Amino acid sequence: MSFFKKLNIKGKLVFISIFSVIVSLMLFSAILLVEYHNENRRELARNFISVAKIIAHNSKGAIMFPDSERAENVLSSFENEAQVDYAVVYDADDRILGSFARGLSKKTSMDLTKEGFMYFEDHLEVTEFVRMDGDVIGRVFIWINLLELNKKLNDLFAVAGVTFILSVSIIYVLILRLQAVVSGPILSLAKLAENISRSNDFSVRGKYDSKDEMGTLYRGFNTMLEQIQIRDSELRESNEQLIHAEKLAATGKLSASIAHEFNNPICGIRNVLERVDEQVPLPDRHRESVKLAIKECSRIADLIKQLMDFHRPSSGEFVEFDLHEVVDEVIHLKLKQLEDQSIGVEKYYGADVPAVFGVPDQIKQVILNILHNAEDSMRGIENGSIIVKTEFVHPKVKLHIQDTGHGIPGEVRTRIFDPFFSTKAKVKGTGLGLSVSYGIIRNHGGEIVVQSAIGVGTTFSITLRVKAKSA
Amino acid sequence: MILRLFTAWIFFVFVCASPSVSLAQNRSLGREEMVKLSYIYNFAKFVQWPEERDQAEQPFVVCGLGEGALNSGLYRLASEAKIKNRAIRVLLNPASKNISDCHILYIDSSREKLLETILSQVGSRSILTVGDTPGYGNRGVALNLFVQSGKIKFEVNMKSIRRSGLTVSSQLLELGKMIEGDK
Repeated sequence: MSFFKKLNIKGKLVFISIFSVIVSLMLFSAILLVEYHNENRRELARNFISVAKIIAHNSKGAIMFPDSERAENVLSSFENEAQVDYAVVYDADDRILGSFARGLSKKTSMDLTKEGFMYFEDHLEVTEFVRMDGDVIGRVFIWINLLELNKKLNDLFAVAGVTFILSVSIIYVLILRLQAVVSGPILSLAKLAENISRSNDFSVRGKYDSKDEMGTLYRGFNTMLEQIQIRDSELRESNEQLIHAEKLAATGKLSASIAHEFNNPICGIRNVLERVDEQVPLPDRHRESVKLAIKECSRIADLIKQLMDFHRPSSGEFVEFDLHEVVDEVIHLKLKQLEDQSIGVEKYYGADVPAVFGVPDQIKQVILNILHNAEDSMRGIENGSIIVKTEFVHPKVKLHIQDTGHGIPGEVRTRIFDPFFSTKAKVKGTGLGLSVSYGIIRNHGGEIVVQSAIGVGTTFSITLRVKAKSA
Repeated sequence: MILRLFTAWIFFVFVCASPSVSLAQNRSLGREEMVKLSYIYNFAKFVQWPEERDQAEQPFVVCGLGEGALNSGLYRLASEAKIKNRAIRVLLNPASKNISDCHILYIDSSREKLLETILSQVGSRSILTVGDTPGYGNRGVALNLFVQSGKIKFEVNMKSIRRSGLTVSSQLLELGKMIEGDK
């Protein structure tokens, strides 16, 4: 069977088919030949029983009025029958009345007291009783050689053999052609799979349109390729996202460390200025300047602290915290820039808003992102404003951040949460802000939705949970 | 069975049986007579009488004319065998008016001088005439037995057979010696 295992699909199909055909043909012809052989033997026996009956009938007179000449005359009709080698007419006492012999006389093997026929290796013997008025008055015995019968059978065997070889050859050619219907798709699918694994090109598809199992296999294979392709592109995107995020994190770290480096000198400068203010007599005008310098130094120190806080890696720990405090902190971080653009910030905090559940740094990042975008959207607009509103809609807290910017066009609105989608200049935006925000809020089990009208402004609404899900 | 034994016995006697057996079987009949008797008996098997069917229940009548040994042998035949499944009735030297009852009429050599008279009494009746005297065949006896090189043969007078209206098997005719004469 190891030979069979080594064959390819085509070889297996051909082998199975040919094997089945040969077995069934052999069986069929064997049955036919045996039947034909037996029928021929039966027929030969039948024929010679008839002949023996005629001989018996014609021998009656010769037996009744014993006449060897007459008996032999009757038997002489076998001169022209090459199958008969020996024939005898016996009288009632089993004495030979007349005989016919082609060549040597034969020895009878059959039991002459029984009527009928018997086959021997090379001949057939037939015994027929001669009856007169119901009495056996003699016997006719015929010895028939099987040369003609065997020749007939040999001829048939030869014809059967030639037919067999011819049929098998024709069937082999047919199967060789027909097996392609089954093996073709399998082979081409195997080739396709091999090509794909070599080239890694998942965009190719197997082409086979049929309702059979092969069709199902092809469709399944194609679906699998499609899924691999989708997964591939998703993987590539999230990979890019990861690289960007890492870059951002590195940038954040760098800026945090720079801020830290700034902190000490600024503190030093402020100390010096404070000492100057305390210990050096100065005219009022200058003292004001020194006090202002001290105030600015404090502000720088505050900003640095906040910056460092912001860039401290997120703990990722979910806690209950006051949303308003967090919003205030972020607005404070952003206030200077907003003031520079003469953007006003209005806050409408709901009095009943409870502590929300989440990771404060991440929520800060989301708010900062939205404020960035609000700021950008109001570029070139005089007296823009940002309205921050919180409300408690049982059981969740909603935070709305509304701007009076240009608004977001419809076709853009559907894509703003996609990664790397940005309408800002390449150098300014990463296209990750809102997508990361979206991810964060989803992680918090909340929602982030956008409403926008061109020329009126945009509102981002964030829904946050109040308590841990399990609670 | 009896018939078969009888036939077998006759052949046995004819071909090469030991004389002691034949003597033991029959003291009054010689070997030749036994064979002739069997021939007369066997002739009946190869001959069909026209009225055979109607007489199926009646005995088959074998007549003998003359004083020869064969005539007495006919009784023996009648006691041991049947012809065409009918019992055999033997009429020895029947009156001329009874000749018409005969199916087979055996005429021996002692009636040689009366043969023509007898045959005229037979006329065209369906009677199979059998003889064993040289010249009988030519004179109008249908089947006449004779001995040739130690074997019993018979002459067939086709004219007589035709006149009697009997149907004789071709096998019998082929075995016999054909004569057309009717003196």
